[in-house]
Amino acid sequence: MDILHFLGIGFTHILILQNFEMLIAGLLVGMAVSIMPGLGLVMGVVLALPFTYHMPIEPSIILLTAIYVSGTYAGCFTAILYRIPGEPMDVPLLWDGYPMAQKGKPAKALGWALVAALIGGLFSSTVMVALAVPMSRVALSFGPPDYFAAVFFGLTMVVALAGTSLVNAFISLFIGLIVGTVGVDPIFGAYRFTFGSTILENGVPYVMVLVGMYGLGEVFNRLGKGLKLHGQPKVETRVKTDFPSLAELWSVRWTFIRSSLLGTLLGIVPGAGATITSFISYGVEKQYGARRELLGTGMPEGIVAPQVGSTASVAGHMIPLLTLGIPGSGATAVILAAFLLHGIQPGPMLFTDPDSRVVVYTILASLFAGVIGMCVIGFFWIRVVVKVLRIPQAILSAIVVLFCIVGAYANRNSVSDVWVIAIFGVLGYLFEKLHFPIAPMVLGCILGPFAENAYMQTMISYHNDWTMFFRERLSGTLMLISFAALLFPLARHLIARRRAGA
Amino acid sequence: MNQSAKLAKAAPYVLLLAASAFLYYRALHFDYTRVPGRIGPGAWPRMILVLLMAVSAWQTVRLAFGSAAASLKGIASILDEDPDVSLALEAPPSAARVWIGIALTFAFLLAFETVGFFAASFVYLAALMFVGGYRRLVPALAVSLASSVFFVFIFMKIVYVSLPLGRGPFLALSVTVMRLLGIH
Repeated sequence: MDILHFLGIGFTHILILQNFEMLIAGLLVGMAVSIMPGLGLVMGVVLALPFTYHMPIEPSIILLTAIYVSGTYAGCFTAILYRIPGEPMDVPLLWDGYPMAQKGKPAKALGWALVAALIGGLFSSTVMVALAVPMSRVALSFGPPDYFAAVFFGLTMVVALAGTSLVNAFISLFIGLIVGTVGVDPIFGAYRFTFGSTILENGVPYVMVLVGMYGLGEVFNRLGKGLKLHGQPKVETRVKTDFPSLAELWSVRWTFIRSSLLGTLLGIVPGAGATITSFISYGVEKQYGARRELLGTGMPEGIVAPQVGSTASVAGHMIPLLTLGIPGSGATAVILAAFLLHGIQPGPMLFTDPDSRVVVYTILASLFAGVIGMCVIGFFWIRVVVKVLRIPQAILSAIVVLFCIVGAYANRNSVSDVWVIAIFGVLGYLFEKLHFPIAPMVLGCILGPFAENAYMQTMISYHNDWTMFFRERLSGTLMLISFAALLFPLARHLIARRRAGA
Repeated sequence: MNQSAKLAKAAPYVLLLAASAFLYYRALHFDYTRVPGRIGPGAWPRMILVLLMAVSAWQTVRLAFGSAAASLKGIASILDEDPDVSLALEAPPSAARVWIGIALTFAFLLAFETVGFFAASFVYLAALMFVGGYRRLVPALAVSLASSVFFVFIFMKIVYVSLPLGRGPFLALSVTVMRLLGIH
């Protein structure tokens, strides 16, 4: 009853004018950035962060989460109609969404995507609300070894789930962890890798790493390809959305159930972002779906599975952030930064303090409102939002660069922060060029200090006995799962080589 | 693949190996008050650097001297398996354009405080668009001007961020723009 009571208060807080304005603004920005190839929801969240510096906590987080939620939906429009996935997560929508549109049913394909986003989003938000308090209670009993194991699990999953070379993912993670050690060590007060520079004494702000790697790095990449989309599509804005009937929805109920569960559960796992959940949901449908052999020919299941998976992952990602203070993706890392900028440390204590609890439940309520709001906007105004495709890349990139620079400067009115993002922008470009994934580096930089702190506390408390990580029940289980996740690609690789040799 | 191409591919990993060895050496010499029986502030970074060196060395050897066998990929390698899909309709990349763009960005940052945000960003944006292959002069200048004005207005008038005004004549220019925008 407590949950419903606070959730009710959360819904009333959404109706406060500034909160409501930020919700709508976030939904529109999220849709716009997810439609434009080369932008994306993480960049949208990163670029919106400077606007939250002078806002109260509630509208700040509502703005960022609204961008995050709607960023998983709007890309379906361009994927289905023009075969342009705004983000990698929209790629599976090309396989059935675009063929359905080509068969003369674009409105129906958009309707399936809209219903999928609505059901997936509401389901995972409900699970999140139900799990938040029990998870926070479990988190309160965490000792340093458990906490280290939880962060270790997150970091290994980011590597194991990498779509590229595992070696490059490891290198990316280790670079991020080293960046996270720069500055004055909190336990001994030692200067680490500062090289006599006062700028580095406070460490490298991870928000600057995010802005540099995702924002400026992406602009440098686009610069290399030319600030012009070759063969830009003629934007068709007359297409409407046609909802599936109840009978049609009932016929794909198992797809909804499977993908909602998968999206939410995978979303909880750090590193498994919307892209991975979208692909895995489609893959599971192709493996176990009732009409799996027809997938790829314009089947509703091929639209529902990835769309439900990607939207459901958002609320899943919010669970470890709010209950443990551990962000599992680039977007939740920015949301964590917004919390910290307002002097609030996400984690189990949020649920014990009555004032913080109201903030948390307002954020949870805003996810429900965000999911419903994005579907309403998707139904009525997507034709307006999709016009952002007409903005030339040159103009868009110029605006993104200025947002990155001013955003970095505005944090502390410091030019040194702008230099930091420029350096990480170059690094972001080099990572892309050399096929190093960016997510492990960024999460390593963010989670590294958490991991080191828990590691050092364990070592001090247990007289340097590292076996503690394996002897405690929870930490031991998490460590074993982590190693198994790392060994799985190796085993798969060896089996594939053996088969190829046979 | 010939040997020089193999070595070129291995070069980034050699650089990483050298950098991590250097940082490892630095981590051995952190200045702090030692406590008997307790690990120091260098333990954690050294552990990571050992792993980084090991992975870089392994990859260097594999690329420089090994066969062209497929590299070990993560669980989500399925994401790479649709060659038919391009995320954007784009041209082949040009490294020269990127490095000119990076040089421009660094020059902009060097001039940022002297020239002031407004003038520096106007020139920088126009130059960046030109480097990116956008050749329509009037729209490029118009967009650069509009963006600079927009950012000055939003951040100085609404978000209350004190952007650099520049020195000498540039200060006078920034103040004029601010006056026109109603910023006091």
